[in-house]
Amino acid sequence: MALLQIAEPGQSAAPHQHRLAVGIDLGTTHSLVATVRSGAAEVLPDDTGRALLPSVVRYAPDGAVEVGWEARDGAAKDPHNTIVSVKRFMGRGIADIADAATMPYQFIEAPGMVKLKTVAGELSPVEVSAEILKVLRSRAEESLGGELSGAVITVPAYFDDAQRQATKDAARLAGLSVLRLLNEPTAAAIAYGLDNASEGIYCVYDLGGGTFDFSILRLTRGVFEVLATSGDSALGGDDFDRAIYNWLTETLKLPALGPEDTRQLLTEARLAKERLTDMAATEISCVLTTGQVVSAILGRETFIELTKSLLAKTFGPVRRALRDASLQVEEVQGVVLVGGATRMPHLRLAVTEFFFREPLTNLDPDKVVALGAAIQANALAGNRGGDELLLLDVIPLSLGIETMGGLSEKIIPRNSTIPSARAQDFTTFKDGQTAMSFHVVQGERELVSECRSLARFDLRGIPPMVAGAARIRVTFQVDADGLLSVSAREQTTGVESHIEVKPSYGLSDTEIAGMLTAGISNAEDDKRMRALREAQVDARRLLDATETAMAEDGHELLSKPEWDAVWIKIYELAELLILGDANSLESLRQATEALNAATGTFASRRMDASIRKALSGKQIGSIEV
Amino acid sequence: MLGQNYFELFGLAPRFTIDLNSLELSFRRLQAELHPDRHASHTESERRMALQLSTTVNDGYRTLRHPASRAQCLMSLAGKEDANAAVSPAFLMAQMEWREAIEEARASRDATALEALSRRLKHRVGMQEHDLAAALDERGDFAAATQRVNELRFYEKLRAEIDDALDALDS
Repeated sequence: MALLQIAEPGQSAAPHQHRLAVGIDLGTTHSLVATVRSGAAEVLPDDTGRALLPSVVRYAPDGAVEVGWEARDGAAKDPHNTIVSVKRFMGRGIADIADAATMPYQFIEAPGMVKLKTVAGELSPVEVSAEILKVLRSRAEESLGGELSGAVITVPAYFDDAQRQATKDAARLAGLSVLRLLNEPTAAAIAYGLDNASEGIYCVYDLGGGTFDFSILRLTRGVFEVLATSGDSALGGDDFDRAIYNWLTETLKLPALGPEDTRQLLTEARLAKERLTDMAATEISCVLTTGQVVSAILGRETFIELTKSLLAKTFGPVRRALRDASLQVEEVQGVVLVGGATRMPHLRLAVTEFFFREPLTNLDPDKVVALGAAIQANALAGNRGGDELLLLDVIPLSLGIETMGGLSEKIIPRNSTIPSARAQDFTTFKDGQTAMSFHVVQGERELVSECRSLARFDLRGIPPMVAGAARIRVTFQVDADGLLSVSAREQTTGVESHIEVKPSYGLSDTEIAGMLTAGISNAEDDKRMRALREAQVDARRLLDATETAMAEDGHELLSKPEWDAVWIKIYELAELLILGDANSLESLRQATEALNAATGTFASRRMDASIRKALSGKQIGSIEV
Repeated sequence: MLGQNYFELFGLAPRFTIDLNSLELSFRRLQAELHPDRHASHTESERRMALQLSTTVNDGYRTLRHPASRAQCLMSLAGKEDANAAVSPAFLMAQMEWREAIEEARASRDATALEALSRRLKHRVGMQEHDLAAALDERGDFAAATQRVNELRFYEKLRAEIDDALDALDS
C-alpha cells in the first residue's frame, strides 16, 4: 500500500491535489469511461485505441469472463452464456421484459429482479453489469496511473428507483465509489453547455440502445436546471433492429429460429440499419445454422416505413415534457441529439420538423454522455475548475403511497427538483388500530396496480385510539442521486419507522456481500480484507476532506483549542492508516467515527458561512448577472 | 439554520407580487452554495447538512414560485391561514362547466379542444392572480384571498386533468 503523506497543520497539500475521478456511461449497447485531464474532458480508450466497450459479457465454460468486443464477436456462437443489453434487465421483473420470450436467455424469476441462468450459475443483472464496470475501472486506473477516488455513473433519466439502485449496487460490486448517479441527458447537456457556453432553453433527445429519454434544461452561466424530463424505458435503438429482424422473418417466411440464428440475424439487422445511414439501400445476407441462406435488399424507404410508429412513439414524451415545463416548441433554443440511434437520417429529419430547427450534432453522440459525466465527476471530486458547474436535476416519475381502494396518493410529483422532501399526514381506519402498513409506489397512474411497487413497510406500536385520531406523518426524502428513503412517525407519541427504499427491487446488503465473495474459497478472509479496504478508502476520504476544509477556513472558523482538537483526531486516524495493519479494521472505523464527530461543529460553521455567503448577495462569478 | 420564512430566505419582501427573476436568481445563488454537489468531497456531517439545506431551498423555491402556495405562505405568516371562505354558487357553476368541457374533449379524444381549454385556463389563472394580488397586497382582505386561493387550487387541478388527458392521447 502506498504511504499516505501528511502535511504539517496549516500547510496541507490536500487542497490542490488532483483526485482521480471518472465518468462512466454504462450503456445498453456499449459503455465508455472518460476523465478530465488538464482541464479538458476526454474518453479513455483501451490499449488498442478503441473508446467504446460493447456492453456484452460472456461466461465461458472454463470460468473465464469475457467482456466487450471479444464477447460480442462470440455472441452468436454461445447465445445462452453471452449477455447482451443487460441494462434492459436492471431492476426488472420478468413481467417487465416485453420480448423475454424471443430472447436467447434462460430467465429465472427472482424476488424483485430477474436472474439469468448461465454456465457460471444464476446471475443477477447487477453482477453482469459489474463485470463491464470492472473492465472500465481497470482501464481508467491503468491509464491514469492510480486508484480512482470516485466515479459518476450515468443512468437514463427515466430510470425508476429500482433501476437506479441496481446501477449503484453494480458499481459497488465493481469496487467503485459512486460520487453521483447522473441522468444521461443532463450529462449530455453539460458536455454541450460547457463547450458552447450556451444560455437559454435546451432540449436533449436521447435515443440509446434500449431507452429513450427526453429532457428540457435551462442553462444560465454554469447552472444546469432541468425543467422537465420524460421518456420510455423500454424503447431504444434495439427496437429498430428488431423491426428489421421481424421484416426479414416475415418476408422470407423463415421458420422459428433458434437462439444462435436469432442473435446472428439481429446482428445483421443492426449492421443494415447502420449502413442505411449513408446508403439508400443495403443487402442483408447470411447463412443460418440450418444451411438456409438469408438474402434480402432493404431500401431506406422500407426501413422508414417499418420504423415509423417507433419513431412517432418518441414524440409523446417530448410533448409531455414541454407541457410539464409549460413551454412552447418556439421557446426552445437548441436540441441536442444523443445516442448512436440518432444517426438515422429519418430521425434527424423528424426532430428538425418538430422543433423547426436543425439539431446540434457537433459532439459524437456516442461519447457525449461519458464526457459530461467526467466533467461532473471532476467537479464532485473537488478538483479545480469544477466550481463553476451546478446541476439541478429532477425526479422523472411521481412517488406515492397506496391509500384505501388501491389508489396512489402522490407525495412527490414528477419533475420535482432534487433533493426533495415532502410529507403527508395519514390516519387510522379502525378504532384501536395499532399498526399501519405502507406501500410505496412510483408512477403516474392512479391505480397502484399500474404503478411500480418500490417497498412495503410497517409502522407498529401506535397507541390505540379511535379511528381517525392518530396523526401519522409519512416523509419522503429523495437525495441528489434520485434515490428515495421513507419514514413514518406517529405525531403524538413519536413512534417511528424508517426505510431506505431497497428491499423489494434492489439487492440486500447480505446479497451484495455474498456476490462480493462468491467463488472464492477463503470467503471469510476475503470479506475481511474487502471490509478493511473499504474502511481505508473511507478514512482516506475523510482525512482528505477534513484537511482541505481546515486549510480553507479552519483558522477563520475555529478557536485554537477547537483547531487542535480536530488535528489530534486527524493524526490519530492518519497514524492507523499508515500502519495499514490488517487487524486494525475496528480501530480504523472507530478513529474515522471519532474524526467525524470532532468535525461536527466545524461542519455546521462551514455551512453557516455558506448560507451567509449566499444570502449576502456576494455572488460567485458563475452566477453573476 | 435557514429559518422558516421563505420570503426572507430568498431576499424578497413578503408580498404576493414578487419579481420572479429575482426569486430565480436567489434560488441559484443559494443552491450554488448549499447543493450537495458543492459538498460532495467534504465530511459526512457537512454532506448531510447540505442535503437538508438544499432540500429546504428547493421547497421554498417551489412554494414561492406557484401563486397558490405563495399566497398560502403569506397568509400563514400573517396568522390568517384559517380564514374561512364560502364557495360562491357562481364558482360552483363554473366548476361544473369546466369539468364537462374537459370530459367532452377527453371522450372525443380531441387534442385541439383540450389545448384550447388549456389556453383558456391559463388566461383565467392570470386573472385570478391579479385578484389575489389586489386582495393581499392592497386591501389585506384575507377572507377574499382565501377564497381566491381555493379557486386557484381548483384551477391547478383542472390543469393537471387537461395535461393528463393530453398525456393519454400521446401514449
